[in-house]
Amino acid sequence: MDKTGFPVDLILSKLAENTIGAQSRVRQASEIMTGPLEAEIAQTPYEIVHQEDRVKLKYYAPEKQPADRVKTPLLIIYALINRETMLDLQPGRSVTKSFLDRGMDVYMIDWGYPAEQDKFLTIDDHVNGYIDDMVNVIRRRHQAEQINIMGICMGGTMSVIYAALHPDKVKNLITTVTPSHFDTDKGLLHVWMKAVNADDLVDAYGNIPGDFMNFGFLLLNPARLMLDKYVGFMEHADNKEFVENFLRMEKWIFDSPDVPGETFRQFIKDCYQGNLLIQNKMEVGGKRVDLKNITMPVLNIYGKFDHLVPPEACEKLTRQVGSEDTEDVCLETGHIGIYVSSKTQKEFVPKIVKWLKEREPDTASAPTKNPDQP
Amino acid sequence: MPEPTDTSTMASSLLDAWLKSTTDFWSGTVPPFPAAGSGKDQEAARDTATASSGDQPSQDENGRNKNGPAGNSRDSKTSGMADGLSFWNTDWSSGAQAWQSIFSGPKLPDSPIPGFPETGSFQETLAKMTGPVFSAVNTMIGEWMQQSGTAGGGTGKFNFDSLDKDALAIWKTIYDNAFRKFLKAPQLGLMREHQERVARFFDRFTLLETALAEFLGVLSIPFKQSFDDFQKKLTELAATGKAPTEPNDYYKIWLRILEGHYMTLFQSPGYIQTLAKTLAASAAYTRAKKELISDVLGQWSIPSSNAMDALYQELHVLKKRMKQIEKQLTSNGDDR
Repeated sequence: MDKTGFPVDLILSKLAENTIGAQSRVRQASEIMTGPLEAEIAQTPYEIVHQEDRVKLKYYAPEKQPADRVKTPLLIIYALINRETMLDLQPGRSVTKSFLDRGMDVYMIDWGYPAEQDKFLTIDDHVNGYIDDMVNVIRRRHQAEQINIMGICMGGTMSVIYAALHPDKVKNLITTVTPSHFDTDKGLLHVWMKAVNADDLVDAYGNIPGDFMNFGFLLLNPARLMLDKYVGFMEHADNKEFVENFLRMEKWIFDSPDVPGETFRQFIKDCYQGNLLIQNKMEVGGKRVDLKNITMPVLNIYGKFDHLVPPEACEKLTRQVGSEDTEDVCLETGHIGIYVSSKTQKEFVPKIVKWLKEREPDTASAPTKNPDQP
Repeated sequence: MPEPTDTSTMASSLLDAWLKSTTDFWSGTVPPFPAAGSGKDQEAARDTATASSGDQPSQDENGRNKNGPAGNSRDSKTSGMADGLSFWNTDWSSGAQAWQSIFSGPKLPDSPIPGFPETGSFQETLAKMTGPVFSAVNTMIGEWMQQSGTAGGGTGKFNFDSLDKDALAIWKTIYDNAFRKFLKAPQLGLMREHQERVARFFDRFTLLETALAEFLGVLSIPFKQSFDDFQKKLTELAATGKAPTEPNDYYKIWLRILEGHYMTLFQSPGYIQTLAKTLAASAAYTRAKKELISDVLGQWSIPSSNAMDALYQELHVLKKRMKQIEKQLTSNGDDR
């Protein structure tokens, strides 16, 4: 310790060590980055069983069918922001694969990439149009009156709206990191969106560009997302597995479809600014969305450290729905970590499957090949 | 101070010079169309033309002109056209001379009316007709130039000690007070709509650039503050003997401070206001850009985004109605 109070000699000697280590790391990193890398995402096989415009319905068939499996098919509705490939990011950390390993029939909506002609699509078109059509296809395929629905983030909000408008078609509703109460100042997104002039943006841009949205998400924590993340990458760039996983995440994060303009307009004005959904005042397709119509069992999962959709935005839902069979689960993780962290992988899917099994009737059957034939 | 120049005298001398140079120039175009045929008139015409220009038409070793088809003047097949050209030469030459003599013609008689200015020669008359217009335009340009010269006049009230903060405010004031009004000046005439769209595009582009600069400036504040606080934190750690020995720990301390400052900034009304302004500027620029692009596309009969939007909306409504009908047809909506 010198007279400045800093252990300068020690720091300098460690810096020197680090420099030698860094040289070797850079050499190895260079070999890794220029060599073959396995960084593909969404590798679990699936089949497209229905397509409407750009919107596809993916079907993931289970490899094994244990006797105690959940027979009712599960439809996963992802957000319109980013892509559903997040659920199947990498081997060993795939939500989709975890469901399949437990014998579930999994369907997922792939919203595709909205183009100019999609700018007039409203929440009604998504909920009463695409989602309802996909649900009907699954019901036909499995000859089931009802199916299970799991919504993610904005997709969760649309699932809530769907379940309120079509309660007869939903057996169980699972909402994950789903905002339903928007009048909170806990998340920056909730604070910022109140100041956004949605009309101005939609009138100017039409669809809201994905890169524009992504930049907004990066701004939620620039110190971590624009700086520390890449410092961390440089520190571990000599680890091939780390590099591959990092690249997978980069691929997913910056794969951002545009958001249809009219949907964005209504979502910002009715939800973020008006907070109409939780008050049963929101209207979709000319009908009021009454959460009391949600009488099916509801499992509501959210992340304690979610900076995008904080717990305050999620936890009110179960108190507002008409169902008496509800459960809130707060996991010790963030918005994305809930699906991709190795820790929550051990909690998330097992919890959902267990919860569904407890509510499983013995009525659903395996899918038929031709969905158009009842 | 120099003596003010009489506008009409200046314009008159300028007009003289212009007329002479123009007549000489057009006379100079005659040689490329040399006299054809063998008639005296043609020869005379060619002499006149070459004399006035001081040039000789370029010819090859066979005496043929290299400068164009008319160079084959002896070719019987082209004699008809050559005759026409020679006539044109003669006519042009005499015409040019006529114009020269008109413009340099004698002065008209003095005005018989006392106090009424004398009419003078044609060029003086023309100069008097155009003089006020030139003068007015001159004055207007002078005023604009003078105002542009004082564009930085608004900077006095700013404190240059904090240039990084003030620079943007100075630029905004300069742009608003000195430049923007020119882009907003009403356009006149047939092209006014197009000119206004171009002006609006440049205006919105500048406003977006300004808003982005302001936004980035706000985003940089936590960085500066984090370094200041990092310094203080290090002093504290050193004083208590808790300074880390791992270099990486210093980075972590700074990052936590930076993150904290960003969280504070992002919830501040100032940041939210700047964000809203930047988004509004971005939207305004995008609209102006679309207008301009639509304008350009319209010139080539390519459908504009407005036209395509109308089409998309029609398709959207039609698809929706079709779906409704489909659902009604499938057993009262139970489409299983």
